[in-house]
Amino acid sequence: MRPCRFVVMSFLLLFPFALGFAQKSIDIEEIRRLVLYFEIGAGSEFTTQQQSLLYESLLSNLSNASEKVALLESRDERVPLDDQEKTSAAENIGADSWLHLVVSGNFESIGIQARCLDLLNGIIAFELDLEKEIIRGTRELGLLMWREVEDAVGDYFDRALNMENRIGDLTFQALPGTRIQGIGRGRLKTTEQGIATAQVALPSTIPFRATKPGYFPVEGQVYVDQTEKVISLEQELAARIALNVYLHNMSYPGFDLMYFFIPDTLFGRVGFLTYLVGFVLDDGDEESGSVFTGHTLNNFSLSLGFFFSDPDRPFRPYFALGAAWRLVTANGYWGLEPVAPFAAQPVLGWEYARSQKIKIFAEYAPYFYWVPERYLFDLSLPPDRDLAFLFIPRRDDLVDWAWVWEILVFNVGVRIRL
Amino acid sequence: MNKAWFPFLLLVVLSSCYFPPYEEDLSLAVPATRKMEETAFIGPLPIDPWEFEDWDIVFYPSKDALRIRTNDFVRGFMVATNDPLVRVLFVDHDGNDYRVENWNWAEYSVENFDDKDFVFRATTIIDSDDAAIDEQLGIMVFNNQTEPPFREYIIVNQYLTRTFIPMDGVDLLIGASFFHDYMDAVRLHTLRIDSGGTYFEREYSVDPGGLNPAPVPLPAALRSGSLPGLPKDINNCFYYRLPDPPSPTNRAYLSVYDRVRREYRNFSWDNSHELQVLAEMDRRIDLVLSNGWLFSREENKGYIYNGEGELINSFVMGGLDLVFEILNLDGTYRVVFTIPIWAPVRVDKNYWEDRLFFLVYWIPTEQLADL
Repeated sequence: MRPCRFVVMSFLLLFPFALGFAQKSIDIEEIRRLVLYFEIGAGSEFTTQQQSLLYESLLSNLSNASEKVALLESRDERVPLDDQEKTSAAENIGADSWLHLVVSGNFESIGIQARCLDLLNGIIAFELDLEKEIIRGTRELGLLMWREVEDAVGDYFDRALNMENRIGDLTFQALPGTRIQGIGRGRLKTTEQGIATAQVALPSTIPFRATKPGYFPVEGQVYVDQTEKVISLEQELAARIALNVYLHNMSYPGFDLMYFFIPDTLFGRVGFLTYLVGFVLDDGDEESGSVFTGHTLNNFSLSLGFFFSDPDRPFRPYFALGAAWRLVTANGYWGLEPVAPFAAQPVLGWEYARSQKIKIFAEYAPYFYWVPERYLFDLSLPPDRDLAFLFIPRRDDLVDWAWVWEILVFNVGVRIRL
Repeated sequence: MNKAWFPFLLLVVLSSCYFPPYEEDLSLAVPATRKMEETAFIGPLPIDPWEFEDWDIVFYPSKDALRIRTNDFVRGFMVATNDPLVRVLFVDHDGNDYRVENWNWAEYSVENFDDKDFVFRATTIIDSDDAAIDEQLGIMVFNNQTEPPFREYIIVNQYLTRTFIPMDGVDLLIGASFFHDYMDAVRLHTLRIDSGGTYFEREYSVDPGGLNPAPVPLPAALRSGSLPGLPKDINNCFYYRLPDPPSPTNRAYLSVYDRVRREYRNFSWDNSHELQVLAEMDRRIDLVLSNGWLFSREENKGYIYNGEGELINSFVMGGLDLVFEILNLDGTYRVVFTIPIWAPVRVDKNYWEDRLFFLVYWIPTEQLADL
């Protein structure tokens, strides 16, 4: 294994950790921000100049539709395909509503389809389907062409801002300390009495996610159309104990018992890895004609770690830090292995599953051996290998001792919540 | 997301041809060697691992080199056994590196590796009268499968020139041992028992005096007589005679496997001709030390008994071999241990190959009780 290959692999290994825990928030502001998606319909017979006239006259009319809405132009010439894309694009430029307007036909007979969505209230503000004829040329574009659209925008956003008067209280009943995401900019947190209340615009559909360390998150959405609404959340306690069964470097069996101080989040781990029996996938034992191998060595380990993400996520990265003691169980001697008696061991891993009960996991768990006499460790290196051990310090003329980083250590196995 | 598994699994497969950094023979030896003095680190030796990696290898360092220590290096003989062969190679130092002539060895067929039998014993010999001969190894070979059983004393020098010296006498030689005395060099003691049960002990000087060695058989037995109680029909055994000095009564020891009882039985006698049974000791005697202690090796452990066969101490040896005891220049007897280790050495930028190393330790004999 070349070091550069390892670096690339490590990057790929770490890549999933960069995947985020994005929270979408919707802002409430004094003046609404409406983004315009303008589209020429398929089969239309407008010249480029006519398209420009249509767009600019539309902008001019909508800019005066209401003092309570600011019109934004989409930065992308391509109109997002569906409502979800349109909403995401609108949020990206800070808009809280969008208007998708499609014109079709030709300059004498124009079809107009308009659809406006209010992101704050989660409702469709209006939809229009119009047929227009232009008799008096471009003058009519400025005066009559967009009147219905302009009126619809003005009517709705004058009223929409007035919705401040139509605000209701949404109350969550949950375990104390539960955080609720999805309502406004910040996060709600339940009090010691297990209550959290937020004001929401009426009517609206509110998606939410309630989390509390040690409990499975509760996700859902609630439609609020009354001035008071109470939602009671049932939160399920996550697992306290888990058992790991794994293969160390695809060769030797290992077992861990995990105890979660905070269920399914913060854990302590006791592990036992044995080299007494294992199998190798290459020709290491070809002289014996068997893929099985064995060494009178075992690792006993203790570690403390935590998961980066919530228990309900299918993909959960975690980190642990601990130590391992090497135990010899040879005939005539049971005790600490004297050449490298113990090692520090960071663990970077992730687990994946659709079910909460049984998950598969993979982890990078290198050993940093403490070696009081480095030349003895040199003599203990496995024979006939392209080795992946790094001595720290590198030079053996400085000190007798060393920390030795065994670089390629991977565990793959199954984690069972008990 | 699932694509993230692919590089990880690829990495796991690549790392799956895995052995842990652990050499059992070395690890088990370390607790004992930490109480000893390391006298030499020999290697890497460019020996073909495919030829010798599965052989039992023992390194016999030069006694002069250990005692005088005029150089930082220690030469010696490497004895490799793999049923039924015994090969002897000479480990030298050219001023920069240790070297061994990879395909040049002296080879013997022993044809019997029943571990209950006494088969052979080797030791380095102190010096030679021939200025061209610096190092020599004496090997006593017992071949118990031929009829009649065959006994041979062989001297090998650093050029791997061999001299075969049949042991004389009519009666079967059933035991032999080397005694290491700095002033008198090495002596070879032998034991015969005739059909009437009379035993004869002889002493040979094995300082060969050059390329034509001639052990000096004494015309008469050092000691002979009858030993009532000794098992009959012994055709090979461990035998060791402790001469005066250090033993004023010339005590001798005999260890033999009783195939009926399925255990080792151990005996001793001295000038009084009274056979003493070491009833508490059921392991084979492998070496008698200058202070009368008995050393026995069984699997991973070494056992120290007093002259009456009572256990004094035991310690884990791992891959250590107790090769001999020598009298140091300071007048103290020391026990010498060696251990062979195969370990990878970088022979090219991206290529590692196994090489052989020897570690040599010694400890004052009395301190064996504290290991």
